[in-house]
Amino acid sequence: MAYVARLARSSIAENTRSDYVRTAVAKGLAPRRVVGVHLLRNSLIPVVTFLGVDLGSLMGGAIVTEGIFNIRGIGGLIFRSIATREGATVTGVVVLLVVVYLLMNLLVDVLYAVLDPRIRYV
Amino acid sequence: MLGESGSGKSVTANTVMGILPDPATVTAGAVRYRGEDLLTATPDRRRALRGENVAMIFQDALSALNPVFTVGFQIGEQLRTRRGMSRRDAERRAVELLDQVGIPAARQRVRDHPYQFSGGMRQRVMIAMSLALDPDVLIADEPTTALDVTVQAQIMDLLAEIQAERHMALILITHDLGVVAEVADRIAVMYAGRIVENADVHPLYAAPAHPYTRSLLESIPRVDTKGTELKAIKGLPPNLLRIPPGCPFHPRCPIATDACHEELPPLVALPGTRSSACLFAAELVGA
Repeated sequence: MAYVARLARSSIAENTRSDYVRTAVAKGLAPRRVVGVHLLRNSLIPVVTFLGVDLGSLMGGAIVTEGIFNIRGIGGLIFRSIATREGATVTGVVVLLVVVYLLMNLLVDVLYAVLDPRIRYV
Repeated sequence: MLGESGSGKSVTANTVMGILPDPATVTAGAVRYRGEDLLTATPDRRRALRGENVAMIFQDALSALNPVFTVGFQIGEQLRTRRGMSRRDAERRAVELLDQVGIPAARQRVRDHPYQFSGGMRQRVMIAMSLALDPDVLIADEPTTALDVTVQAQIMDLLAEIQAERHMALILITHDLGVVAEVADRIAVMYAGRIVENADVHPLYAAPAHPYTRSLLESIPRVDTKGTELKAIKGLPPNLLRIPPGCPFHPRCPIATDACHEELPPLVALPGTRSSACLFAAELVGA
């Protein structure tokens, strides 16, 4: 979370100097609108990219935390299955996680096009 | 406003709009709009005037327009946020404005994004956006610099037409002497951050009262002097961190004397409605 906030901050800071922000200010828009509408939309791309990648490590991390704290989640299930050598369960759950990860990445790619119409895949 | 790159034209315009980039502040002087000093006005008051009374169009329309929103959104935005128009009405008005600035098939194009327009069309979008709230003053900061010559002429014609139609004041910032000659009534020539000459168009072109203006006019290539060497102004524009003492133009000035090295010539009024910041202004006009 902290990293995402920091990334968003630096992305916004970088875009603050751009010409379209100056235009928005020159239009007499409220500062809140300049940042919330004009700046934010342009600054979200690196944030979305990071979120997509981050979700993968989130699930990897879940195996460790859920294992250690004995939480009955999907990570805990993998952890226990490995401990009891239940190969089929491990494979099944890992495939499930992979599918989730792929879907997240697909979502990120689609979000790109929504965020910035200049990005269109042929 | 006329002057070469770095002479302070855009900074002046941004000061009027109150959109100077961050570390910059205005330390002296006043910006008067209908008798009101904008520099001492509250930020809210200034914001209220922006767009509504004084609007501005920028040099490079591609970067000045927000890449991720449709042009209709950007033109209608002020109407929605400041006139309380509905989305639909704002879009309808945006179509009208696009139509007025000569964009074909405005109804279809209103939902396009800036990158889908050509350079000239983008600048037209920019103009349409600046006109949304019917400003009294339009500042055009080198509106044609990024465009090719034929498109430049179209945009200038459009601006002149709009200005006449709406009885709106137009402050045109440019380094193109040909462009000002056609459109402007009055010219302020800037050099190294100062206005060095201020005059009506015809007197200025007929008899420039500042050697810088004269050198600029002489440097224009002309058909009848074809084959001869171009009369460029010698030297380089001054480094603005080290503006020469005295008259900033003296190192490049063909008529500079010792006096020019010492004192900064003030902008003095001359007969007629003109002024010049040259010690020899009177002689130049007479000559």
